[in-house]
Amino acid sequence: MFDRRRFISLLALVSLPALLAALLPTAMAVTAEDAEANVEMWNKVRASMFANRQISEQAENVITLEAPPRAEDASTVPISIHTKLAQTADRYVQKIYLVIDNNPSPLGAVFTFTPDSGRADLETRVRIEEYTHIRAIAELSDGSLYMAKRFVRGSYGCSAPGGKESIEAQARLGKMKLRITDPITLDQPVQAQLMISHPNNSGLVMDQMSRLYEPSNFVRKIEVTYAGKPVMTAEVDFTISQNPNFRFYFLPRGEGELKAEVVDSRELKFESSLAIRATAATLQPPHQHQ
Amino acid sequence: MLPISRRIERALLALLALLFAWATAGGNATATESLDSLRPVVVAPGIFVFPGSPGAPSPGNGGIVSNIGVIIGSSGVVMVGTGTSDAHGERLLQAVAKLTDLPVVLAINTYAGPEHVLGNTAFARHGIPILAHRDTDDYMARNCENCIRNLQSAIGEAPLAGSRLERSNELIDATTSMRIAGRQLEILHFGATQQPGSIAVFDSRSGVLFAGGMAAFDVTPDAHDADLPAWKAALLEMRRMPLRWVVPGRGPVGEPVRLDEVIAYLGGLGDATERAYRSGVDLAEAPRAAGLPQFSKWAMYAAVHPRNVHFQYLKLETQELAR
Repeated sequence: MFDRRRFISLLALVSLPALLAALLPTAMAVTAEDAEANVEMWNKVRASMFANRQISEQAENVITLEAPPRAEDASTVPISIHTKLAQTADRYVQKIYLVIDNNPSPLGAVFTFTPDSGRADLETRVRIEEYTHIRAIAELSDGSLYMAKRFVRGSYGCSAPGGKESIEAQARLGKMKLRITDPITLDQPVQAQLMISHPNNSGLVMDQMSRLYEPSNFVRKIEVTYAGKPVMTAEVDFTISQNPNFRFYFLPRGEGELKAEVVDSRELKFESSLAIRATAATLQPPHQHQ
Repeated sequence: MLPISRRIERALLALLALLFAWATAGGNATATESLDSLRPVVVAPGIFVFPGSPGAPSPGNGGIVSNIGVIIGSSGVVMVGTGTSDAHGERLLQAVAKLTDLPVVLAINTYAGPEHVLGNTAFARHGIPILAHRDTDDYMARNCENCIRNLQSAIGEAPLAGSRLERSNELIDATTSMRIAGRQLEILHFGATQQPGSIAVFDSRSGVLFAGGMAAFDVTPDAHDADLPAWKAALLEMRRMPLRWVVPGRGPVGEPVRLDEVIAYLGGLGDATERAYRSGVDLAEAPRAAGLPQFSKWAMYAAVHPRNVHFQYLKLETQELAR
């Protein structure tokens, strides 16, 4: 039998959210993720960094961001940024800003690229403090801004802050590995990897045994050049995980030296380089100099 | 042909094994709920297990996911594990009191997992000493605040009311033989294995080995702090011992031969992660690239295996940086 009252209440139940959604501006439409996210923090960061400049979120032809929806380990969340532009001199990705809304330091990194980067792609690992949006904002050489974002749920890793690993990283402070895994072809972007032994302490983590805060000590700047020209510069902080690790590209136009210079928050400087020489058909990285 | 009584005994044993397998089968919600963590399973005369649920800690299972062992001797009781919370520790002590009038004289933390040590407070309140390897105690002290926070987000705050870390108060540094409660126990430390301070407890009279965090049957073991080669070596050493039954940290009680499954998993985990690492696969891709489909039927595989790969991959990187 048709139950009129039930029908009306059902109708109300179905139509109420639709009605609300219609009344609210679309920018305020609330998704489950936004409800958990700290949109206010993003608004602040956005205002201080980009003022009123437009940021396009229709960005899939410019930049995409990959991050796990649920982190295996909140202290080491792998992220990868892919860009779709050829880094030609007339239009290229100049900067990528990495913003993690709910972290104590939301602006975690600013990466600078050039046409000599070949491709403004980047992979690294970040710490997340709680459930959060991670945003990668590309600034093109024409000044336009494009944003890709991902929502990541992380659990406080049960790993020890200030544990054995941190002591080991401190003991090997500044030791680096710079390497290229694939064969090199001239004038084709080549991926390189930089690993830096460093505890990258935030100064915000309390040792649960001593009840003391570990002093902050982190890599703050990385400059990578090829044949003397900058290919990737990163201004970073403790958002980047312990033993900072980056994969990025450069464009070899001939023989040269790939060189990484690192400065930490205590102004210690570390350096690593890789000589790349021509053989018959390709260029080859023979071995690493430290 | 076997005498009738032996045949009945065998049939009963088979039925019991089936029932236990059914009750602890992963991914079956009704079975998980029907599993009574306070109904002891008999392993051998005087040896019982309060079975943990094979799944992830959830509001449904109250985070009771670790097997808790009971060894009753002529003069007292030794417990292996103290439970997930203060309240759980208290309930375990009440359940033991229904099994025997003898006093609980020792509790052993075989590894540092919240489901295995957060009941320490209840035992301490009753004046029961708590034994652990020094490295387990240290690990607990460094991590338990995070672990409690993690567990709260998984099961809710109510079941953990009043739960905090109670440190162990009888520390050992190496394998130790002890005569206690009228039984001879070997507390075995094989070096840093599953965790730096993981230990196993062997009751020589019954041949029962409580393998703690070093073994899990039908459940993917947590290897996130593990030294895989040392852990495998420890399991091989256990295989050479005169064992009758193995009580794993998680999953059903099994015959010693089942340790080979854990050995195979650890080997597979190490090899697959190393292959992914050497071939240049990045950290994000490694858990997919290093899948082990032959173990995907184990409970927690989808949650724990990728995590195990993640941490092993980071270990390989650290080793490379150290060279």
